[in-house]
Amino acid sequence: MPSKMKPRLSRGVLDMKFMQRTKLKVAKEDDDEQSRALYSNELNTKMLNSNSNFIIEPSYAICEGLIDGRLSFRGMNPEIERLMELEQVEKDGKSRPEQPKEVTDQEMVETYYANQAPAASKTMGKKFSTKNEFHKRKSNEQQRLHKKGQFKKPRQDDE
Amino acid sequence: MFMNANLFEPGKSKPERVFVQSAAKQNTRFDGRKTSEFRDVKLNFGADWGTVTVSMGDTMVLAQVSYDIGTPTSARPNEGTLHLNVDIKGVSYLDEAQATYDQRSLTLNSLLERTFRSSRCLDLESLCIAVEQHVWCVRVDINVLNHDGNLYDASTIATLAALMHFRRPDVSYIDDQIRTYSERERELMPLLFLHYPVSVTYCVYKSTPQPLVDPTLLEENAADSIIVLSFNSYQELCTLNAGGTAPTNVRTIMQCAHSAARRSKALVQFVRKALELDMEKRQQSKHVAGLIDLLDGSLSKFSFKRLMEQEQPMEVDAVQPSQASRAESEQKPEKMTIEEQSQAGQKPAVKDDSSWLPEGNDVTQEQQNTEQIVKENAAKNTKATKSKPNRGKNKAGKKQAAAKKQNQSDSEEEATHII
Amino acid sequence: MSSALNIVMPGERITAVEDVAKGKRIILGPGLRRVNDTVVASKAGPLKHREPNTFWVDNYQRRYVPARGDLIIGIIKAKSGDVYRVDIGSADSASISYLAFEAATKKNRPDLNPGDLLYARVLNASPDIEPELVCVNSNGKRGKLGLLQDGFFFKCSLNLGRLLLRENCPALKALTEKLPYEIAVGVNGRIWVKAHSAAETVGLANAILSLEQAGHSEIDKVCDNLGDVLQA
Repeated sequence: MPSKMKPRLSRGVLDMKFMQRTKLKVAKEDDDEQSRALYSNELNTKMLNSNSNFIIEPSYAICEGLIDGRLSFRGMNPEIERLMELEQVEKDGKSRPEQPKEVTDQEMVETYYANQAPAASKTMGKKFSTKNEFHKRKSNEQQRLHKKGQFKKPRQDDE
Repeated sequence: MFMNANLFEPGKSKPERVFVQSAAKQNTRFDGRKTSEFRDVKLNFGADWGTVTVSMGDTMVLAQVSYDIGTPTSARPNEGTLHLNVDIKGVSYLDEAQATYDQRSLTLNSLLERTFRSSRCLDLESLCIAVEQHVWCVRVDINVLNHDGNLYDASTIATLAALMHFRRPDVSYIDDQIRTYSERERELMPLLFLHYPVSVTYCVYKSTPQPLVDPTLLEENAADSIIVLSFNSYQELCTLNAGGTAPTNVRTIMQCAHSAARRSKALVQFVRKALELDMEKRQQSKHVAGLIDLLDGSLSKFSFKRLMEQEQPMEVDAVQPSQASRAESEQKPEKMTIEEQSQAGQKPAVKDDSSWLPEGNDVTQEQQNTEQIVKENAAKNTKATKSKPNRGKNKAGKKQAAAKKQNQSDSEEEATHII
Repeated sequence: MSSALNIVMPGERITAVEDVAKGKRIILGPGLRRVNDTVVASKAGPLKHREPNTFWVDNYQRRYVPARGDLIIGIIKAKSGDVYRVDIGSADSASISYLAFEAATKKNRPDLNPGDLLYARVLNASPDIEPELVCVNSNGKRGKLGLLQDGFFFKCSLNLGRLLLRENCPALKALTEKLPYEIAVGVNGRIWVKAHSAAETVGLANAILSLEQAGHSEIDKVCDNLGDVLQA
């Protein structure tokens, strides 16, 4: 059926420099198709569709999480010890987030906003807003500031 | 044992060889022995006569004697025969080709042939039943069970102990009829010996003049040359097998010979003692456990160290050449003739018998001995197959070697015991 | 389950692993085999589990079976064509290309000779083709791989090799306290050690070999005595 036939790129196109990645992909597809054709009479649908939960790993080193076996201690081979140190640092770097925090995320957010840090973004935002909005906000802000001053301070004093 | 259990044997990589060389230089050995310290030898007798295992460290050899009545050779119609058969195949990491054609197997075979057959240690004439018709054919099967170096010593001790342990039934020959008596009718007969030879092995390294005695497999594989000396209990030299590439001077060989002679004497004493104890045991109880002990490792073994403790302290430590040779010269019998095959290129010092057998050792002689004779016995392989009958052929081979103008020297000595 | 010693025999169906597999994907290590939807042991030994989802059988073994990614010690046996033949203790000898070394080119070949020791990574291993080794990482750098010079080399069981390579192995730590040394442990049961003197190296090698009989549990006890072995 010609309609289902996939359009194929010509060799001339595939040989072009920028098509190298596509070329590999096409080659792999061809390969897969061929091997599928080769084993088609041995593979049954069950084998094709089974979705196994098992991964086979023949190496003890990976299963047990073994370390690299080339080690040096107390300055016997400085080159190896430097590599070991680098590895250690890399490992520590990965595990840093697990360190206990002195300041929790919640506290951080609170202090951040308390210090009016987003003020800068606000000022930038003002620049791009329309005149109408600008005025509106300006009046709002004045009101709020006004309210705040009037409202908050006496209350604190009350308490 | 752990080191040998992998497929490939120790001593085949460069770091191992370099390390053993440098350790030998510092008089260090991997198992903590001194350079002239032997491993303990353990004997274990089987339930049958003539079955013996010998273990030295992890090396273990089984020797089994069997017998048959056969016809004698036409050359020696009044002598029984002794056949030695070495089987090294039990050592798992040797593949088929190596086990059969390996130099090691050939060397071991020829060493045993020369030590026991060529030196005529058995009185073969006593094995004759009827001249030209019936003789006893004694056969020794030597099985290597585990190889951790020094198969030579283990095999010779095992063979000697097995032959000494062996008992054959008595026979009578009347009116062309052989009658074999069972154990109940007549007592079994031991074999008759003319002398009792055993071997001692040394490893020589280029890095040090001090040879290592009783090498492990690692040391053996890393060695530059290996010297095997067979002595009998009368301290007569039976076989000398020296090969390899390390320059060895006469002094070193003499030094080895002196300590080997004393060691051999002690070993034969040890075997005798062990046999006595075994006999006692057999008389006490009918039940003999045999080699089953090997499996559970229970100690009915006869250990060299334990048995020889009460003996005079065996001088296994470094030999002081002067002392040793003085002691030697007193005991060395003159009846020993050495058939020395020396090459034209060899220095006269070797040919001179007096330098080999120092009498009343003095300083000048020692200096003479120290004249270094570089032995490069590369021709070891050819030598390994030598035995008496084809000596003429060997000479032809030697001429070729001489033509090559190499500084090679073959030294093979066989002591023929004059009775 | 990881703590309790659970011995399995070859051919035994292991339902415990199957149960876990119903919930999530799991990794079957050496000694375990999938037959249709069941898990069957193919080696005898204690069944081991590592979080989150790895299972394997830790059997006693001396013969190395190559697996991709393993770090091993090999002995160069011969040169042949563009490759070296390397003995890694497996049934088949492995090969390593001349180009699998740092900064190696066709003209600039590494200078290796039969008998040399290599610390290398198994690049691919399959039952049907001979294993291939490399001495560079994916960046073309040598890293820790390459030729092992001097020192001393010996063989042990695969289990001892793995024992030493567990993270925070007490044995190596105990030895470090005694003397400075360098070591290469291949998971193929081969160990190379190097210390300052021959006597130290001998002591080190004997100390490591004395661990051969120690299980995972007794190892601490044995490590306490390592110092004595070193002295002897």
